Amino acid sequence: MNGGPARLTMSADALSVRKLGPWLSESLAPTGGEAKELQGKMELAVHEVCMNIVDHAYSGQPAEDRSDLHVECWVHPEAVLVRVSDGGSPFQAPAHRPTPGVPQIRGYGLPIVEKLADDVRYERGNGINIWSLRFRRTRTDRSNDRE
Amino acid sequence: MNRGQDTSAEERPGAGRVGSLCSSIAIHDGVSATIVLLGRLDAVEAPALREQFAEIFRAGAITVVVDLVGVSFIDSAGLAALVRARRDAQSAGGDLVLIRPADEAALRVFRLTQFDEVFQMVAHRGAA
Repeated sequence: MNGGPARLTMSADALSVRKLGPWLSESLAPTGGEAKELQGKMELAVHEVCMNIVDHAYSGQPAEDRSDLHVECWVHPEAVLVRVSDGGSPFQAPAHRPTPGVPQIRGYGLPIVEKLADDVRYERGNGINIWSLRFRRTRTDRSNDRE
Repeated sequence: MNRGQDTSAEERPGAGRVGSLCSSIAIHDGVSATIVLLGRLDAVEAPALREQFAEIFRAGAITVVVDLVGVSFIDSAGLAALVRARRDAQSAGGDLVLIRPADEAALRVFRLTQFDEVFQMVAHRGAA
């Protein structure tokens, strides 16, 4: 990692978001034996954040008017940090959150992110949305947890 | 699902490769169908999958087995396509049965949302 974060810049569309998987795989190589477990959780979480941006921050905007998504990843001894930034509309928390186990069509993206990451923060400044996700390296997998 | 019906199943002409998600559809006896998915079920593939489910329901099938064994990744958009198909099947008096993904990464989204308790999920096609 040479001290700096791994960086990925991509267009704000669903197809481009597929670049996350291979990029994360490379970025998590320094975690050694933890890489596979981290990748499984982090790919889904970061994917959902990026798709939320594609679907909502750029909703209704033609592709040519959309600014890029920027993703950065820091591997620290205790945790892996990911920051996703974009120049789209400010995030607005959904009015309704899905009830676990009760079927509905939409609204599962961010609850999934919150279950997978140990810390999720959103901030906006200078017209930029910034999502910061933290994944503890030694944490127990909460994928089997229930709300 | 009676696997003996598979050999006489009607292969749908619309079945085939959808982006990076491969799919094949078989209508068995006019009211039941199997769709086998292979690859990545994400926001890119979900619209095409929704159309494939619509095609299955238009063909008269109301009970649909979705084989997810070979699916490597499912996001919330892919999950939503399955939830919608389940709703449509049940509205018609049928159901949607899922064959559990072999890959933990694909199973994760069901566990996180507790849809593993909502969907009828079985380990292999013979149990559907």
